[in-house]
Amino acid sequence: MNNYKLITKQNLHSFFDALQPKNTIIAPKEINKKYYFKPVDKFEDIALDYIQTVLSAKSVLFPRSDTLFNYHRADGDYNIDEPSPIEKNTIVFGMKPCDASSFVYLSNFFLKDYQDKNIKERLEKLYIISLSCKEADNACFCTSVGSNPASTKGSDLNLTLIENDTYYVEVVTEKGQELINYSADLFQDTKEIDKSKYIANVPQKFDVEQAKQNIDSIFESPLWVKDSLACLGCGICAYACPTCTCFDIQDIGSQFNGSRVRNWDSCAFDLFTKHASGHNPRPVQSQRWRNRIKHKFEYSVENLGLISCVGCGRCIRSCPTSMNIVKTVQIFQGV
Amino acid sequence: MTELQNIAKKLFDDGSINLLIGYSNNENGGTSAIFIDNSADIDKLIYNENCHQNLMVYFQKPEVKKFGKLAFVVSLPGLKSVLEIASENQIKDGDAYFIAIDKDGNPSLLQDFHQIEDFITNNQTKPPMGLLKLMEKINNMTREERWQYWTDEFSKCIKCYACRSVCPLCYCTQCITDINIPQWISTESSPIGNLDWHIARAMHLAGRCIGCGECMKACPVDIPLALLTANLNKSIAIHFGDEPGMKADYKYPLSHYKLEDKENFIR
Ligand code: SF4
Ligand code: SF4
Ligand code: SF4
Repeated sequence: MNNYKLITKQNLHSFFDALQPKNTIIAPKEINKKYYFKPVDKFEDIALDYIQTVLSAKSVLFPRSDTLFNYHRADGDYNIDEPSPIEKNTIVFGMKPCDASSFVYLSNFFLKDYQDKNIKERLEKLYIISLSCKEADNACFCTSVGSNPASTKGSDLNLTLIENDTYYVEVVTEKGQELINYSADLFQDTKEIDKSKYIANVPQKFDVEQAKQNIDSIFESPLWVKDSLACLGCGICAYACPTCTCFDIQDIGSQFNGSRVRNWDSCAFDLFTKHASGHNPRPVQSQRWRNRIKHKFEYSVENLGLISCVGCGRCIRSCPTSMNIVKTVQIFQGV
Repeated sequence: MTELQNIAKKLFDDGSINLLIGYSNNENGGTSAIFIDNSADIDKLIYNENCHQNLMVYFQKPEVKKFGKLAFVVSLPGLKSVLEIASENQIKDGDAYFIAIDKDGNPSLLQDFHQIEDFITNNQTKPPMGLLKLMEKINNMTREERWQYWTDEFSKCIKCYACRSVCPLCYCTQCITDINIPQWISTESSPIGNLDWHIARAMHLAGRCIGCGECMKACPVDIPLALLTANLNKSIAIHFGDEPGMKADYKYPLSHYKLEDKENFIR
C-alpha cells in the first residue's frame, strides 16, 4: 500500500508525544556507550544515530521467559489460568531494517504450523517503525542475505533521514497508516524518492546462493572443526540474534502451584541436545556451530522458505571469542 | 619474523608441539585467538595491547586437547590461571609450553611452574582504577543498598552463561547449569532465577578467581561480575592469608584444613 510522506525531526518529536500515552514504546537507548531496546516515555531518551543494539528486539514478541499458564490445585482439581501476554499496543520505534525483517521470520516460525497464542496476540498489537541506516560497521552484512539498509520488509512505517533534519516516511502497511492517523497533520505528502543516496553503503560479503550449495551438502568435514576451535559454547550469539527462536519449557513451582514457562535456549549449549538417556548426539562444539550455520542457511529454508539470518551482525560484535558467521559462510562459498 | 614468531617456529621445528594458541588480527579490525597447527601459519601470530582474551580457557576444551602437545601465548592473567589449575591438579609441569609476554610486551619461553611463579612476581600489575573505585563505592554502601545494587545488576542478566564459558577456571566437564535432573539452576531469567546462578558462580570461584576479568568483558549486559569474586578473594586473603594464582602448590583455603585454622568446629 506504500504511500510517501515527509516529517521534520521536530514533528517526529510531536508524533512520538502523540503515540506515547496510548502505547508502550520500545526504542534503542544508550547505556554506557552501548545500545539496548528499552521502554521509553521521552523522545529525548531515544538513540536515533546508533548502529546496532547489543540484543535484538525479538523479546518484544518472544520474551526471555514467557509464562504460558499458571496452575494451582484446589479441591482436588487443577485450575489453570493463562495470563494475558500483552496489555497495551506496543510500538518498536527506530529499529533497523534488518531487525524489522526478522519479524517476518519470527511470525512465520511461530504461526505457520501451530499458532502460538502468546506470540499471535503480541503480533496483533505490535507496530514497527523502522529507521534506515545512515551508518553501518564492518559486522553489518544485510546486503549479503537479501536485504538492504533501507528495506521496508517487516516494517509498518519506515523512516529515512534525508537532508535538513527531515525524515522521508514510507507507510508500508495499514498498521502504519493507523499510526499516522494519531497525528496526520504532522506529515506532509510527497512522491516516492530514491533512498539509496541517503543510506549506508554495506558491501556484499558473500554470495548466499553459492555458499548455500556447500553448506547444504557438507556435513562431515574438518572445516567445521577448524572454523570453530575458538567457540566456547556460550549463549550470546543465539540470545543476541533476532531470529534465533529455540526455547526450553519448564514448570516452575511445586505440584500444587506454579507456572509453565518458555525460556530461551541455545544450540551452543551442551544440554541442548542431551537425551534423557545421557547420550548427546552433539557432544562437541564444532557440531553445535555446524548446527547453528546449517539451521540459519539450510534447515530454516527447508522448513519455512526463509534464511534465518538477517545480517544484523550482533553475533559477530558480541562473541567473546570473535567467531564470525560471515567468515564461515565465506569459507563454505570458497570450497 | 618477530621474536614471538621465532620462539613459536622453534617449538614446531623441533617437534615439541602440535598446536599453538595465540593471537592474530581478525576481519573486524580486532584481534582474536588463532589456532596454529603447522609452522606455515606462524606469520599470522601477533601480540599487541589489544590481545586480551585469556587463552588458557582453551586448555580444557576437548577439541583443542585432541591435538596433543599445546603451546599458549600468555600474559600475566593467563599464567596465573596456569598456576591455579596446577594447584587444582588439572595441569602438570611440562604438560604445555608457555610463551609469556612480559609487561613491556617481550616474549620468552617459560618451561616450568617455577619460572612462571617468578614471572608473576616480577610482572605484577594493579587492577584498573575504575574497577577499584566501583568496588570501594559498593563496599561503602549499607547492606540494603548493596543488596539493591546487585539485585538491579542481576536483573539485567540474560543467562547466556558466557561469563562461565570464557572463564579459564570454569572447567567442569558438566557445569551445574548443564544438569537438569534436578534443575539446580533454573533456566528462566527472573530475579530469583538469576540470583541462583550468580551465587553459584561467585561461590565456585571464591578464592580461585585469578582476576583476568574475562567474565566481565564477555557479559553482553555489562554486569561487573569480577567484583564479586574479587571481594570474596579479599575476604579469604584477610582470613586465611592466601591468594590464588601465585603458586602452583597453593592450598585452596576452602578445601584445605590447617591445624592453625581459626575455626575449630571440625577438630
Ligand atoms: S560463537 Fe561466540 S557467542 Fe556463539 S556460542 Fe560460540 S563463543 Fe558463544
Ligand atoms: S545470525 Fe548473527 S548476523 Fe544473522 S541475524 Fe542472527 S545475530 Fe544477526
Ligand atoms: S555473561 Fe552476563 S548476561 Fe550472560 S550469564 Fe553471565 S552475567 Fe548473565
